[in-house]
Amino acid sequence: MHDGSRRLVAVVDDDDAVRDSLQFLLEIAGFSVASYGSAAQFLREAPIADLSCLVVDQHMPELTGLQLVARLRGAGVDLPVALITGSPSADLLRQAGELDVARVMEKPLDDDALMDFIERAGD
Amino acid sequence: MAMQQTQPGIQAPLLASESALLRSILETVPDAMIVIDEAAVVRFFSSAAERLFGYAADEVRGNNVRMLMPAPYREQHDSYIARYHRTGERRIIGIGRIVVGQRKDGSTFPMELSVGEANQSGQRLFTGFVRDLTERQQTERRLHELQDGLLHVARVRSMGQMAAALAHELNQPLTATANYARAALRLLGAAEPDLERVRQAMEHAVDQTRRSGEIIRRLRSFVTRDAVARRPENITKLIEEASGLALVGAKESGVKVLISMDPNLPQVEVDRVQVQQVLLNLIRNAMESMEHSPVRELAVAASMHDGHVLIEVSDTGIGIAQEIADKLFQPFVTTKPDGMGIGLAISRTIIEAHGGRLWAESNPNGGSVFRFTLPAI
Repeated sequence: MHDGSRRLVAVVDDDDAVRDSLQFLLEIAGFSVASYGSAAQFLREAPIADLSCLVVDQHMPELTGLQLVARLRGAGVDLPVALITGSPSADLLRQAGELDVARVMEKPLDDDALMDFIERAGD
Repeated sequence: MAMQQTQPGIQAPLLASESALLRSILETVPDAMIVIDEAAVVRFFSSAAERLFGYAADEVRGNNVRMLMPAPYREQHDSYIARYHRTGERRIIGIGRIVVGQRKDGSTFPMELSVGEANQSGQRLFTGFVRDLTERQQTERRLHELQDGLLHVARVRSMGQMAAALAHELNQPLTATANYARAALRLLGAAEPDLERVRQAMEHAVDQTRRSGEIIRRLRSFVTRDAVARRPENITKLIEEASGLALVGAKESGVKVLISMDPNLPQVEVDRVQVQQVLLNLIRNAMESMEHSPVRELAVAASMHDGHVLIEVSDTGIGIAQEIADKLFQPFVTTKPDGMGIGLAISRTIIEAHGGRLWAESNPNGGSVFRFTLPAI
């Protein structure tokens, strides 16, 4: 369906319903999805080399979305990242910019913006 | 530094005097200081350390530092050091921690330990500064007791925080619902829609709207909890506690606070936490409204009025703008740049659920007065 469908989209969100619904939506849109309930689980289990992009929630216990991105960047991983948040403060946007986060998306998500991000990342 | 005296050569006399100077300075440091080597053997034990642990320096020097620790640290300390040598991973060096020490008489005490590392002729030395926390922890415990008595701090969060938490919690099922609905729309857009998957998506969406409803119900029951949580309360004490808490956290300075209460107030049957939330909210609003006022006077008063206790919170702040006076108690009406506009709406709901009334007036001296009543028992 897409060029991007051959590579994996990773979803990291601690809220089961948000995570499952995102996986459902993205799979119906033709993407392969691997989802993780925490940043730690992602770091432990994700096949980072096979990912086309990462969609991650900011507001998580222990490691936040941005902290996860910082770790990835620190390890030299330049994966395109979309950060999901309920409250995109100026400070958050600044930090996201510094970590080269491609999109900061506010909940509830804008379907078109999300698909656009993933398709671009898959190119 | 404790090693300098062992340096050979012509510089030795100079180093020895430097060492003496250093030592005399260290003797005046109020924190106990202990220097150990790579094998955890104590090389230096300051006089403050002697006083703190009850050992003479001679009894400790040359021995493993673990003698200053209670079990199980006593048994584990060598492995901590070995692990550090092996991995270089710092668990305490340069970080500082609160740990437990053991005195010569076997008694234990809380201490704050900061450890620094030095390299002396290829040998690693670790310098530990120890601060006795016995007193400090006692102080903190008293403070906690006071706060617990003052209020259940965790429950009496400001209404703004409550609103922010609610917004976050509601956003989750709303996001999930929207995702499932969009998935269903995508499925329906196909030439031959997979209706079984559409059904799945819609079932999930319905579940998530149900979850949203649960959150709303929880909030409503929190705000208008039934009479179960109501008890006869001493209104004077309740007001004093709430005022104390509201003023403790206040950053605004130069506010003159006047609390006046009729000495013969009857008891009221209320949910203490809820009524204190209302007071906290009114007092915080009053403080904020006076931020830029030349005269800053906050008055909290309680008196009897027609079988009700009447409570007033008045300020000399910016007052109530005419255009919002009528809708002051409607949700999402606010004059604050970062306000949610729900504090007064919730406050009024709480007071009315108690059989009272809450209203606002202009203060004749400038500023505003908020009044509410509670039925006396």
